Amino acid sequence: MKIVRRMVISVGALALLLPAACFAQKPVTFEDIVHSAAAPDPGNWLTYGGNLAAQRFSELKQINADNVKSLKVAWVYQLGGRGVIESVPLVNDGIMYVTAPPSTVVALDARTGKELWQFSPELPRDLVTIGLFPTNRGVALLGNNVYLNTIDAHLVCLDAKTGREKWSVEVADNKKGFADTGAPLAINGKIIVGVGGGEAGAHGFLSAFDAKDGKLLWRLYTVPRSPEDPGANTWANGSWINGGGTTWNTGSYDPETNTIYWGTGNPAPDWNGTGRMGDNLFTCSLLAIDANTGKMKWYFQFTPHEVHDWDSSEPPILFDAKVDGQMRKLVALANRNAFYYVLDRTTGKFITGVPFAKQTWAKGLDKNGRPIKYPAKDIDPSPEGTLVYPSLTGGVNWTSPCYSPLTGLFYVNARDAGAWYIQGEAKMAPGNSVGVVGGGGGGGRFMMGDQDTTTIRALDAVTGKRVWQFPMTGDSWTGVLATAGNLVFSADAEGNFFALNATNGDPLWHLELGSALRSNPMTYAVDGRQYIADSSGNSLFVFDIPQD
Amino acid sequence: MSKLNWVGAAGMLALAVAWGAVQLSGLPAVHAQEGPGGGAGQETHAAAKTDPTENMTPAEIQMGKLNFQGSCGECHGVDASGGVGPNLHGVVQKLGTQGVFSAIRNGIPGTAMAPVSSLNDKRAWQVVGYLKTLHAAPGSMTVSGDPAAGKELYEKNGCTMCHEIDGKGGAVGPALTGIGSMRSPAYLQEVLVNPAKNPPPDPAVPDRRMWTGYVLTKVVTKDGKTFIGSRVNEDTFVITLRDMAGNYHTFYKKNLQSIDKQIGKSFMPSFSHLSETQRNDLVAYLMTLKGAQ
Repeated sequence: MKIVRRMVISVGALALLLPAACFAQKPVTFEDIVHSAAAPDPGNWLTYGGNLAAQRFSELKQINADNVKSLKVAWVYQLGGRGVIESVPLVNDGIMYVTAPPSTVVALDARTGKELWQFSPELPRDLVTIGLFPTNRGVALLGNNVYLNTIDAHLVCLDAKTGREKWSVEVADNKKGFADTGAPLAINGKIIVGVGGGEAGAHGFLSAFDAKDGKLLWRLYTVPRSPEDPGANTWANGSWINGGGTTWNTGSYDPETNTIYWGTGNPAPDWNGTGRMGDNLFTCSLLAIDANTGKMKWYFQFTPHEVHDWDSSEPPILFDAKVDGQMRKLVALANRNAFYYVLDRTTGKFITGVPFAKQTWAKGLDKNGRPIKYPAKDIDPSPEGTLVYPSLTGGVNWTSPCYSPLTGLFYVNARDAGAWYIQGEAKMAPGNSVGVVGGGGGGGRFMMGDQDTTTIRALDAVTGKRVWQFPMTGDSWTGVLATAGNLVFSADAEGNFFALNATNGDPLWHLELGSALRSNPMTYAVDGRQYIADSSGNSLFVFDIPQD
Repeated sequence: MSKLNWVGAAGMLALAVAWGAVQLSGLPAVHAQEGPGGGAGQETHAAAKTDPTENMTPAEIQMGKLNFQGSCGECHGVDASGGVGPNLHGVVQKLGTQGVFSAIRNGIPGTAMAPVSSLNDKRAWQVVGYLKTLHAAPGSMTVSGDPAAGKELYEKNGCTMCHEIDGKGGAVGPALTGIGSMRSPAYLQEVLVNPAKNPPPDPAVPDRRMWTGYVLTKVVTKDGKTFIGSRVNEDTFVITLRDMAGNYHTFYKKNLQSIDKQIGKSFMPSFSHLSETQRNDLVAYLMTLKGAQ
């Protein structure tokens, strides 16, 4: 009824105000993105991480710890046979943009779930996707445009109103193993794009494109490409040639200092580091990058000479808090290597690091944050298999943690399983590697069933101390959302989407959605009504509290 | 919050124009170029006209082995002798090279076997080439027993009470109708002696309820009632048990005072008291069970 009434009003307005475009969809300004999911318009979720600090925190609180028990399904959008949705929807001014595998964008009315348009790029027949599932995790918005990274490593710009392609540029050569699954990051006039394909021997880099026309503004390589490049002396015998250090997840951005924070993936080949002795810079690192020039301001390497496939591609979350009584600008990252790190985001100096998931590879971290590893014979992959925690999928994988400035807690879906790591032959040929967990240097055997569990953990964001935890059954692949309603949302491996009390972890509400959730929950509001969204299987579920 | 109605003047105008266009041309005015999925990953991969595994070099077969271990080993076992998915020794001889290639590239509808996205045509053929070499069964595949004697033992030892074959038998344990194509003799030998070492997953629902089946579980409710059964499924909030009579019992975990999962125990007794010859006979019989078709 409501919609019909609105349309009648609109038709009336059409008659009166025909020349004025005052009802047009608001374009997204950089200023809007800076204030995404926060005042003055917390109903818009305009960037992958909720805000540019990647906090995945919303100031919306209409749905809160007192009334969440009344949460109901508002609508469901089914994508049919296009595979599991891993995408985080963005919402601007009542329109939702969500993606589906391999590289489809759908625009929906965020109130009703009705489809407005969809776009699928033409993809090469023999697409190369090594070491990754051909998926897509979301778009970026800026101006009247929607930006999409495609599985064949292109950046596509669409008209937000029609879904029509404005331009498309190649980010990297898919034939060499490059592929894109992550969401681009829109900042002031620039679209920042990473690349995936580390198992294929792709040399990682980060690119900035002009948001207007797709012109390449800068490119920062994460692994040396010549003996003179910085970090080349950390790869024995010129082994930087095999690459690695991909940038497949989405980073964060500090508008005050114009700095991009972006994590890098594993060195190549994986699991067999014998041919690449040394620290292998700048793999498994966090990079702080000047957004204007693409120059590295500082780097922090979490796992030197990594051999377990523990990329450091996890979202770096920016926040300010008191450390020893002094207000500091911080960046926190729950790393795939199972340690939680807090760094000074101005200098890259290490402040704290503690395990947030079960780990058996390091005695701890030294005063600079460098891991004190156990002897290689106990932790390195071996032909017969070495049991090490965490597993190949890490203490956390691509799904996002979140941070609530209200509770001061960092929430992460922690993975406590181990794996038997197997060292194999390392035969690298860029773009022609073998298998996901095969000839790229080895692989592993996972733990299954009751040994393979995940737990939502709330950490004191400054110290990493565990405040509460919510254990789940099975191997959950869902990120975490925090809201000003004192709520944390996530899901278990068996299809239960749930809300926890953000302060103490008490379960307040859950609903079985019928298939595993492999995405990050988000929230938005339209017409003064708050919604919560997450995907289960190939369906996007949106919830609200019935008011009529 | 959004202050403006997005179903605005411009939108209505566009709608009116589009409506006119449809009426004029008689054609739908929507995204004709955009099929679902956009190409790759959706198309059916046709089999090659010739057999690429003929004249495959040892290096290519070795690549196929590495690819197999990486992309297939988690379900089918790193030596292809079965796990969640069936034992693949002899699969090429059974389905043909094109059949196996098609299963890799297109998946097998109605089963947990999905298209293997990490293997393109070239790599998939290398895997087929490798699987073809598994025709000569390794030691673990040898069956030395007498199937007829095994069938007798199967019936005499009460296996029918818990296991179903071709629609007959109990439902306490997994159905065995196709066990001969799912498992290697070595695996069956081991399970007969040590049933709980490797509990199978409950009937495969891809990526859910994996490896949660058949775990002997005791729960005690908050009002003091005890139930024992094999776990059918479990999530963060709920657990379901099936008792020896085949009845299902579902509990909200918040109403339970304890859940005791006897990991490493099974309803199935060990048959270590049988002689080695008898166990070989039993395994020989089970290996003849190749499925309903």
